[in-house]
Amino acid sequence: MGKSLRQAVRATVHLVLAAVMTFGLYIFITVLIITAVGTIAVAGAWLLPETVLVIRRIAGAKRQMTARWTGREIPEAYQAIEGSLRERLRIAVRDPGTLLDLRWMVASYVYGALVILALPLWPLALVVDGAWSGVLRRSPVVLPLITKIADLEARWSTALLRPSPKALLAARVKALAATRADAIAAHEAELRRIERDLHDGTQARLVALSMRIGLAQRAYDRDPEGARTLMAEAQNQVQEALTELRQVVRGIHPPILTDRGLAGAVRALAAGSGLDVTVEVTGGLEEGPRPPAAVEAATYFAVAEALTNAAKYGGGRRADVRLERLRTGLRAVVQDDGKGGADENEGTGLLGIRRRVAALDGGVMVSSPAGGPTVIEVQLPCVW
Amino acid sequence: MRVVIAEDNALLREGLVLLLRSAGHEVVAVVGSGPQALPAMLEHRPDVAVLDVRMPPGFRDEGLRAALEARRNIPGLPVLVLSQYVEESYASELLGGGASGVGYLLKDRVGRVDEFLEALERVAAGGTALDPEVVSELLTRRRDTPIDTLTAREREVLQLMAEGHDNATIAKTLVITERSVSKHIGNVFLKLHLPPSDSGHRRVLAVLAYLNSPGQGSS
Repeated sequence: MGKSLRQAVRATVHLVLAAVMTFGLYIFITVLIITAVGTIAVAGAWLLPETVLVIRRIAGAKRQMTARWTGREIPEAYQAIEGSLRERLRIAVRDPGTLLDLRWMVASYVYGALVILALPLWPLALVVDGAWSGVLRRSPVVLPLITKIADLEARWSTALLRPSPKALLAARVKALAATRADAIAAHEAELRRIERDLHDGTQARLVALSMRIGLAQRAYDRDPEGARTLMAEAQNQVQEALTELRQVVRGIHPPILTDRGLAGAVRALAAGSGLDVTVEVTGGLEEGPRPPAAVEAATYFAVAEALTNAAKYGGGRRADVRLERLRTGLRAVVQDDGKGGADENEGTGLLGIRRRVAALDGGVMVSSPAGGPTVIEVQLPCVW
Repeated sequence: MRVVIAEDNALLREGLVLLLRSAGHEVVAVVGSGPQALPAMLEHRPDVAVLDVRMPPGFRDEGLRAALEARRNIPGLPVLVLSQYVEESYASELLGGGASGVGYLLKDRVGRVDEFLEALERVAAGGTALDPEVVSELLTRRRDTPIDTLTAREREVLQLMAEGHDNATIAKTLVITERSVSKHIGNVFLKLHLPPSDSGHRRVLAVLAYLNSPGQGSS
């Protein structure tokens, strides 16, 4: 009885909100007509794209509201309204999403006020269910009806607001084009960084080294002691050049990934991070087949960046890393015990990680409330 | 000689100073960026300036542009430009204002200390020092031109001449007599339709002007 009652209250709240929105729409339709007239009269052409944007927001709110009731997301697929006025007008009118939203608006004229059906059920429910289940201990019969009405409302809304498969596909293509462009940009930035590292580091060191050897050769007969000093300096520079080369190589593709796989490489990161780090590997990541090299590398760099940030800014003493093999991908979670409040816009490290991960169709989630902890979660899709 | 050095990498800067001082030259100014290079050259009017191509602030071709600008202000100011890689268009730009007192070498050459110092002195004296790789690129760029009619030996002579070497050096490098060098040079000039000329550096200039001009037919 208590459960049914709570459920019925929730259903009523849902229906009341839906009705409130519908009444709002009654007023909004008037604005819509004014815009349409204005557009036809050309003078108000700029109003149309703006109005479509407002419609999108309203439909978006409705999608969220419905998703809250059903627990299932309703996808959105709109074309971005941008460019010159002419283009914006064209997109606003041509976008299938516009028609979809209008169809829903008109339909909700009729079904949006379903709460009118639900409200009279309440006194009935109090009388019938109050006697039926309160006194006779049977399961209530009228209260679930209210829930049913809310279900009906949500089902209709879902059906009306779900974009066509074609529109979803178009949105997916758009998103892929954007991540692809990002991937290319990230790749180029990476190449530039490597070129810079080699140019300013290794190459310069080798030239300096060659210079020392040349000088030593000249000094060989005249000043053997000086030549010896120059050769010692040359040897130091060889060591430094090798160290730098190792760093450059590690920045391109960490050799330990090749040698030990992702779990081993992350454990090595943990051991060298300066924090007290635990590494938990689940889902058979270590025993099963290895993820693609790009996924491994992106995960590795993301974990490395997260640990570096935790040690540098977090102010905590320990961190937990979780690597998890999912059915359709790979998830890495890094959580520290620091003070939180990490600002993603500070520094480019996390941005680079985001790009790298997005390029592989994955996502990065950062949660860092003031007071901590900071949690960074990376999820990458891959086929096992 | 009084030398101005413009190089942003501390290691190389220090190495260059060491090298030039050990050879008895005076380093009058050392700067580490493009914008600093021009005033240093204008102020000190050195016998030769050694510049790195890529320097702050942009890490692009700041050194090259400073060299070109300095030569516009002080015509004939000897400049030796050092580069980590060969970029033929950089050489062309440098030679565009006349090849006298111009050098363009790969940084790698600095290690051959004697050759580097010799090149530096040549540039300071108004001569030319072009990296062998630059000359090779200039020569390949001019394919399908009269250069293809040259014999292998004549090409070698042309290559060395374009690098800025005099007859004696060419003879020594190729292990032939100076007389045969002169003969080969005569043939090269004939085949490239250049007016004959006997003075050493004037011939280098003629060859470089030829190589640096847009190719006939294809490029």
